Amino acid sequence: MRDIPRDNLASLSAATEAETAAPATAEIPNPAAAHTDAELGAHGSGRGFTFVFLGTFLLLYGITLFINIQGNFLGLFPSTVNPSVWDRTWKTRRIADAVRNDRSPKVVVMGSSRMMQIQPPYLEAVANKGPAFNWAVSSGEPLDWLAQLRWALSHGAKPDMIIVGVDDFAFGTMYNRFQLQLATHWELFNKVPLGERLLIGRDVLLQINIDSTIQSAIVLNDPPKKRSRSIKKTDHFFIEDGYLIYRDKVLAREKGDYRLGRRITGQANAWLGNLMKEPDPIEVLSPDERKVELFRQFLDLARANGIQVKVLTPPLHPEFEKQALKPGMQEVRDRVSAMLAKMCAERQFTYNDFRKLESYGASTDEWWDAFHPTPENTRRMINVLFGLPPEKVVKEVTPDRKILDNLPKVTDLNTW
Amino acid sequence: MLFNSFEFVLLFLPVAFTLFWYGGTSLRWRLGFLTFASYAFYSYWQFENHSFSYFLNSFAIWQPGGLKRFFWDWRFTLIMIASSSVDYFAGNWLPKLSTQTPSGRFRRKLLLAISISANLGLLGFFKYAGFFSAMASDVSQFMGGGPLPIISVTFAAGISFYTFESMSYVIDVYRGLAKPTRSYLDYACFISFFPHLIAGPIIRWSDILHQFRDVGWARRRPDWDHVNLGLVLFTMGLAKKLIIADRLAAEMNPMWQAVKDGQVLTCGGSWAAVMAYTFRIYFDFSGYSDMATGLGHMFAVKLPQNFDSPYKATDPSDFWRRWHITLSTWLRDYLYFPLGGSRGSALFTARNLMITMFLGGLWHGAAWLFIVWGLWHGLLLAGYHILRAKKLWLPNENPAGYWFNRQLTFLLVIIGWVFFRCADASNPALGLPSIKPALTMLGQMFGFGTGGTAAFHPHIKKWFVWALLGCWAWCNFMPNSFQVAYNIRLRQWIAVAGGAVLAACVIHFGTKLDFLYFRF
Repeated sequence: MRDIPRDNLASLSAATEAETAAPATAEIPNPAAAHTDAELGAHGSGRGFTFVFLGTFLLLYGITLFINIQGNFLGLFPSTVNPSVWDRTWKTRRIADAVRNDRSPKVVVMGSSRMMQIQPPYLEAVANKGPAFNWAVSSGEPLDWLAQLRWALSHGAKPDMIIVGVDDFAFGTMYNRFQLQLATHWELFNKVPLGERLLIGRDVLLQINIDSTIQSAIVLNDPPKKRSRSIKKTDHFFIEDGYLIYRDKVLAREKGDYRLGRRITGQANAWLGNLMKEPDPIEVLSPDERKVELFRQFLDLARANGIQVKVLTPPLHPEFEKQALKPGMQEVRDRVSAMLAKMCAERQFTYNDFRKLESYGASTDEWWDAFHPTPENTRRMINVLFGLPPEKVVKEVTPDRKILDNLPKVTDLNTW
Repeated sequence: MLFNSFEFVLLFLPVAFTLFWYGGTSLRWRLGFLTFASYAFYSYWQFENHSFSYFLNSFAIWQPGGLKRFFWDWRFTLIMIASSSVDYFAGNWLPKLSTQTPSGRFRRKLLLAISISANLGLLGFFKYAGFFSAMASDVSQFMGGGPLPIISVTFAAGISFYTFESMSYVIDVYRGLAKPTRSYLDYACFISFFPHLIAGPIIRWSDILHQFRDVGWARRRPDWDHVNLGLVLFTMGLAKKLIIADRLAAEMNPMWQAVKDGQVLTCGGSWAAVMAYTFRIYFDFSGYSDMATGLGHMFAVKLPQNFDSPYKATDPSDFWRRWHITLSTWLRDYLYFPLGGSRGSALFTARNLMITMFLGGLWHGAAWLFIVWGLWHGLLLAGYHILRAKKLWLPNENPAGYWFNRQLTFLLVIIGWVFFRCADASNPALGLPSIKPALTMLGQMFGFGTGGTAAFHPHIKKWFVWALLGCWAWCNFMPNSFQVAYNIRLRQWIAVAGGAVLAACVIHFGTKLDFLYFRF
């Protein structure tokens, strides 16, 4: 291999000749001129090389993408061979099924996992508007609700009423990896605003690696014929109306094994631990302009389509508040609550601040953990939302334990 | 924006390439578009989020608070523009001042001083404010006073590089080595040209001017030989970074963290950690330089070589002819020579070398151990200079002497990397205590304080040891990327292999780590 000419590179200690000659006026040689066009041109590679190079890259990367998308080992792609069963995509498919069966939900619950224990049969009985569906998704935030509403409107699933639970810190900027789930349902994903869609797409593609490609290829080689997951291997699952059953928690409570206090403390430590890694935790929790704008678009879209919206701030367990929430964080919550109240008032929507358990008559026992209230708790919320006394029972709904004994026909254990 | 990211490889680069070559053919278009694209490339990292609406809203200065927001969102870009504008105007003003009259010469010197002060002031504030304030606080406490507040400033990416380039322009104009440009566009493009903007190579005005003025640069069509060379270099650099450097980092980082936490490594484990870092920093930084040069070629701009098989160096001086070449030549031309170079006694030369390398170490970051690393190399250079003068350095003509010199130089460089790796510029309050992990690692390398007889750390994987041996063999026997790229005939099978490697690298983007030299 011939060396690149180095006579134009002087040493730090041996350039005596150049120095004594006239160092201040010596021409500084141009290292870039080491290779002339003739030398480069001598390679004679031409346009053909470029096309083969880029063509090979695109082909191989395209094949990798195809294998990952269809094999879907990561579960992050809208595969037709191995469909994802994350809550965003699974629940959207259930609504699509309902529309096909002329049972499009008229009352829809949106929000995060803190809203997942609102029972649609109870809501149907209280709201008296027709079928209800629980469309709350893990770590749901404004981007999800806007995409969901846009999807519903374009797929014949326009509800008459939306109940949306807005978490205190839903407008913050902490990275939300659950949003990658939006990419698992192609039509839902296309309802996400373009900028966010590109970012989610990029983050999904970043999950691809050699291992996922190999595993996806194995799946493609022997694709699953049906969705089949044993209930014994799951700690929670969804039923057809979007309601969540916490199997492990229900069984633990029945056994008398349930340590609520310990769970809350563990969650408080974990939550704070993650937050304190941020350079400015309060800034990260504070409302981000873009997310506020997305929520505004969501409310305006609902209003433009004559949909009634009931906004609420779901509670956190008081013990968690005591252990985890610092003074600055309480101020953020108050600011968000005031902002939601104002936005709702401007659009003649209702807003309920359920941060205090007394505001809807709940107790500190009606909790699974720091964040997730039980069905008894959410029943009271629904009652107060519709102007009923908290303790009223409008309709007896099948308890979770009975559902576990008699699994419904459609769950995310046996249906894609 | 990182070179090893989807948004760069799949969006920015194809769009920039297409618009540059096919958007227009005039020189003004080429320079203007390249400057605009470079500013966009640079600005990307400073936005709070990367949505299109955020980008558009950043220009809405007519809205309440819009002007304040504009300055905040574009703050680092504006700083770069301000810094380069000072030097552009200084460069244009200098030739107008007479060199024949004392007042003219005084004003020329003053203008030069203002330009250099502005650049060093910016660099000092963004890079060293925390360090010096921490030092002041340490001194205050040592003297019996209380601690002083430590300034924390967000580091402006690329500032170490573009301020040096700006200064070199003004100094060269002052010395009569370069003609200043009347075209602000030329100058803005020179400073901001995105391939080299964030982490070098540090280019000179004379490197680039004749290329901008080359009639062929305003050709209608891309120069495909340049483009292909660029693709090959870019891919090789990306592979060096992702497949070698990042894999080494993943294995060695826990070992270094263990030493920082006060744990003991075995002798073998220490060597493995240090060797891994030695190869990591080389493949990472040279990989970046390859990518930068490759990107330059895609736009028919030839950037200078920055690495020339540095671990094949036969003495410390030879090492600095091969490692970060553009920085070492900059230090030589603008620091070492003005100090007097080697035009004096051995002690005088040693002094100049120590000062140059002290500042060279400080340039890398605001941390004591970067200074220690710089002084270590200053000591090596001074020592080599003296030994060579006394004919005590083995001649390279003798094969045994040649190999001995190479491995001795390699060992001396490795020792320096221990200080470099332990430097923590992100924590200026750490101060001199940060030297403890470095000394511990060095001690463990030579068998002190290991507390055990095991030859290797129990968690070192066999493949890792083989990988390190492979890296050593590569650095000692294989040609470097430039030698490969500039000499090989680009046949079709290379196109296929290159495309496959690029695809493998892009798949690896999910496991990316930052480029080391971005922190400088």
